[in-house]
Amino acid sequence: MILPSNAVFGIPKLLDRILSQLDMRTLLTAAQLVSRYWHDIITQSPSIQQALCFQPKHSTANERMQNPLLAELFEPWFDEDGVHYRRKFMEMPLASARDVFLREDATWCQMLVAQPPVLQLGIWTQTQAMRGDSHQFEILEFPDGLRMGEFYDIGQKCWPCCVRLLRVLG
Amino acid sequence: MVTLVTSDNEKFTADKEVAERSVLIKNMLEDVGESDQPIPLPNVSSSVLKKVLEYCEHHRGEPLPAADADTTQDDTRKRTTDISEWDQKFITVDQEMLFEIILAANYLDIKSLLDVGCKTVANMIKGKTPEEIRKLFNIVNDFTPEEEAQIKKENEWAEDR
Repeated sequence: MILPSNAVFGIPKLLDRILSQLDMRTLLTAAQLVSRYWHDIITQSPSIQQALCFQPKHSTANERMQNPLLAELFEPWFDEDGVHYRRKFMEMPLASARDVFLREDATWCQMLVAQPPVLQLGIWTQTQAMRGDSHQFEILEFPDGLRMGEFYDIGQKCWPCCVRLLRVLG
Repeated sequence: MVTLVTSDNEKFTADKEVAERSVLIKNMLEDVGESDQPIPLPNVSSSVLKKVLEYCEHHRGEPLPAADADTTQDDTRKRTTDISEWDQKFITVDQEMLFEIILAANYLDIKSLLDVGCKTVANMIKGKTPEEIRKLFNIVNDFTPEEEAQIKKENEWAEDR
């Protein structure tokens, strides 16, 4: 006799519905490692891929939601005040687990930083010099949505030498 | 009143309003028109139908979700999987019954009950390791060790630390 649990999981629509209720962390680090079938459902379900921010989700709602897992683990990038970058860098999980985070194939690089995706980013730079501060403003476009790999590189380039603010424009 | 006949040949009577929370039963009733003919439910046993009717009775009169608008997927993607207190008590059953209820809710097309069942299973999964999940549900790990290691490494950054 088939166990009722196997009968439920055996219907892709139902397993999809159950897994859709899970948070990103459980999906990435536990659920997709259960079996090939669970892995396939997670990687092939459009709604779960959108929830994991691997696929863009365009909605009519105006409100944009930050990728909650990235916002937690890459706090300096998601901090709109942008004042404490240096201190926050040291407190990031990445600082104490560089080999885990900075693998070529780490999946966070492919994640969209927000849903619906960020299409435009403004970088405001203030350079301090003897003759006075100078300001610069630059707009970057991401027609396919800004993903964390790019965002990480932009932040890394920006912050060491001068004060810069990253602002989502659209 | 509507008469329902289960797979083990037991007869249940329920108010039309209660039974019609099942879209399947509602459609069947519309098809046969005004008649006292019992409705056969060959996929549902009496112990499960009893629970399902208890649920429908409690939620009698509440608005039904729109037939095709699958809003549940969006609305429920909150971090905590919220189930009302009554529903929580109702769904506190052994694992076999829980999954039987989900199968019945799917077959009978009762969206809100299906939701409660799926959320409950999701709550059982949360916080468990892959091995614990397999054990809990009798699932065989069919990854090769290499495949498993690769997926684990790619996502290790997301692990709770």
